[in-house]
Amino acid sequence: MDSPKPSSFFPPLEYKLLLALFSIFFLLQFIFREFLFYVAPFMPSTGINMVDLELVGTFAVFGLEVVVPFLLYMTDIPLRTAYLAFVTAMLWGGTALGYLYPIYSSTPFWALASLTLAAFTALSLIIMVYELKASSAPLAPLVALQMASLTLYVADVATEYFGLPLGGLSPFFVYPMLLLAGLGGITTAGYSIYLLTRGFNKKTAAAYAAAAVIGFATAYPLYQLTLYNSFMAHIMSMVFAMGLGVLAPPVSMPAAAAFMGLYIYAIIALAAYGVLARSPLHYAMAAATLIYLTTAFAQHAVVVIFASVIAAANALAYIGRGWAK
Amino acid sequence: MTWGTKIRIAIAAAALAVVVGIAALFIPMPLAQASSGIVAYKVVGSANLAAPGTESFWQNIPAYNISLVPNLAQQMIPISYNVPTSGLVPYVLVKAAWNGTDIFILMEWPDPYGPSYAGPAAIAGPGHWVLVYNPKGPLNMTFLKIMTSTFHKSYFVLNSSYAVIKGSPRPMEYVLAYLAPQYGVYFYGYYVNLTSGHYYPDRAAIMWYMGSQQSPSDCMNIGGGHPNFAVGGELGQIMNSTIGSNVEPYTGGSLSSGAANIWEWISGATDPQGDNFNYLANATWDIENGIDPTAAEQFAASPHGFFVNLFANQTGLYDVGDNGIWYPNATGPEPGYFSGYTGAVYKDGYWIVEFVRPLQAPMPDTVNLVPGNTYDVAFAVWIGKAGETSWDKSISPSFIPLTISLSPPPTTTTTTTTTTTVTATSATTATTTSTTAPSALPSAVVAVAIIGVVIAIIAIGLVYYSIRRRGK
Repeated sequence: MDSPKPSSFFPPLEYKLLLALFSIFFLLQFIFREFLFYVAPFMPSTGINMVDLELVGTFAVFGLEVVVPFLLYMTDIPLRTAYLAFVTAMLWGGTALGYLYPIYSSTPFWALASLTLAAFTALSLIIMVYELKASSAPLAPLVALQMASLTLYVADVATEYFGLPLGGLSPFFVYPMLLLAGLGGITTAGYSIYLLTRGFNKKTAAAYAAAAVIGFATAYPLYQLTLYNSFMAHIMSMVFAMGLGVLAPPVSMPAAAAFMGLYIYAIIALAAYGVLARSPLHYAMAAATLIYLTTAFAQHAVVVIFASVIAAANALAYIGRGWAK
Repeated sequence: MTWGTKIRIAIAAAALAVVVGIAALFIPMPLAQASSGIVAYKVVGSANLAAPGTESFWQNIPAYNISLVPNLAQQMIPISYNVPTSGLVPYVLVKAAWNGTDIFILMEWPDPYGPSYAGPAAIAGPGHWVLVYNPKGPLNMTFLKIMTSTFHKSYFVLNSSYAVIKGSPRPMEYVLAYLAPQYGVYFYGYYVNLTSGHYYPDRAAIMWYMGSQQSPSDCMNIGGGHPNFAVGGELGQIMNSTIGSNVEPYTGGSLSSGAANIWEWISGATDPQGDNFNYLANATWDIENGIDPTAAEQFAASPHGFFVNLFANQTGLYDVGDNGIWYPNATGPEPGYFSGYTGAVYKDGYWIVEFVRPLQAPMPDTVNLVPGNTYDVAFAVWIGKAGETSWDKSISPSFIPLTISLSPPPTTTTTTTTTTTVTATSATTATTTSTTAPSALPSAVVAVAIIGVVIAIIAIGLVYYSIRRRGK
């Protein structure tokens, strides 16, 4: 078989370094903070000190807060300065205000700043789609999922801080958001397989096989466990609710397990393809898939969630624009 | 900028990230927060508990719509079926405010069954009888007999598929939820007979989480506390063979982590209109039940609506300030027992209940509220005439952040038009327009402004991006 065609656009080495660091920090903060944070109190004693593991999450989230501004600075797209200045001000301004004026987050000024941050996040997603054009199609469900999540956030802030009667929107978003999350798994996994039609070599084949095995090995035990054991289906339903923010009925746990495996496969396969085929775009797509999925259902209570979505979207826009040329 | 400079910046960024990350492990640093959740605004005025919700300051505070879910459902606890009577209230509207000394929480929820003022079982009200059934056929009377005799309960049969167990199901909640369905006995809900007056009080509760930021997910999903209860006799043998243990592992009355203070309003006991309010308004009865004598006498002299303080942690659910009227006692007598105030009205199919309490914690194991801080709160509501009581209720599925803001509420203009006919003969019509809330913007303007700001940022950003992109 042919070797995969290399990308026509390579971001400089320093950019790739920061992008890789950003992805690793996000993954660590997701596993050891966002997920473990809620699930740890319910874990049986395993001999591992959960508190120590949570420290990894704390390390990663602050590492992320440092890397994101640098990544935004290196992302050479129009509006770079605006993103850099605003996101950095929100990230580190919030931390500074936490010492100086701890109630800053309940002030109308900060509420307006939070709305502006949500608008910047939506803008970065739109620009990403604009730059990638058809190439953004595999991410379309996840972009829509993020937009739905941002809409709910704006409605929440508008209700509580500006007195608008928009507090009842969330029930209408539950099933559409679950549907979009499911579709996203199918499109990203499908796209990773489609990439093989561009040619592959032994390394790519081995990486895809490894991704499939890891995805399957993660999903199958959970699928089996929840398919025939109603009690475990209920337990895992609560784990999904706590760790991922996804409220899904226990009867759907086998399906959720299958989609989880699909996502794990797609993220690893896309990342591996990006590295082996020297295609940073696909590596960035893998990172974006992870970030868009795991932040959509989380409560947007910390600025770093918005900052991560913006950084991933800008990276895709930056790399994708070069790719399209 | 040269390549060398850029690579140095990248390496510096990586090094700085590692340094800051490690520093965060040793020096607690606050993460930047985005605005979210319920806001208790600072207001001027005091509560009017005779007409809750009508105080002028509420007009400028938006209601936060909280969707409620059944706590006895597959979605919330690991049971194999949904309890039909659980989760009858679909939502509760919540407003919050404070005036410098007291916090006000206003709850409003639909109750199509009408108000119940029945006394609670703990204070001489109708007992918590359990209605069991088998949706798939006749009830397994053999198992029912074994189960009820084990827990020293009697029962009566309504028909071949339904029976009523007389007496509180607290110790048998676990068996009812996990074991009985496997033997054809399902929990339908609490037995109600409106004709004979066997129904339960309406209730509302607010949980204030007092643990670390690791919010437990179970929040309001707590029931009675009988952890590690060993079931004996034949039923215990059945449990052993079916579940693998005769010990009830589910700590139904406890939180999975941390502790919480619960404020519970009970229509039949803590509201002056309640059938059994007179028990608590009697100082002698109060003192006999472990309530602080001074507090009891003051309350008896000037009774008012109030709420009960409960405390939940990882070991169970407890009373605060009495000797165990509802649950085991946590503190002993406390002078602040009646320091919480409530006002409640049932109007047009809705309950409106206002909670008022000093910000400062009035008793041990109660939450101390500090302006500027954010708290995790959860809500629960019971419709007593429909069989919701005790274990069976409608709850918010997760905690919601509540921030006590130092700011006044957002003000919006309300325009009211009044049409008055002066006399029948002259048929003169006068129209007056009144505006409330000083220096305010109409809500429509605020809505347009908010949505406009968001859309404008996106639109301007897109235009700017497009122009700059062409120029590159």
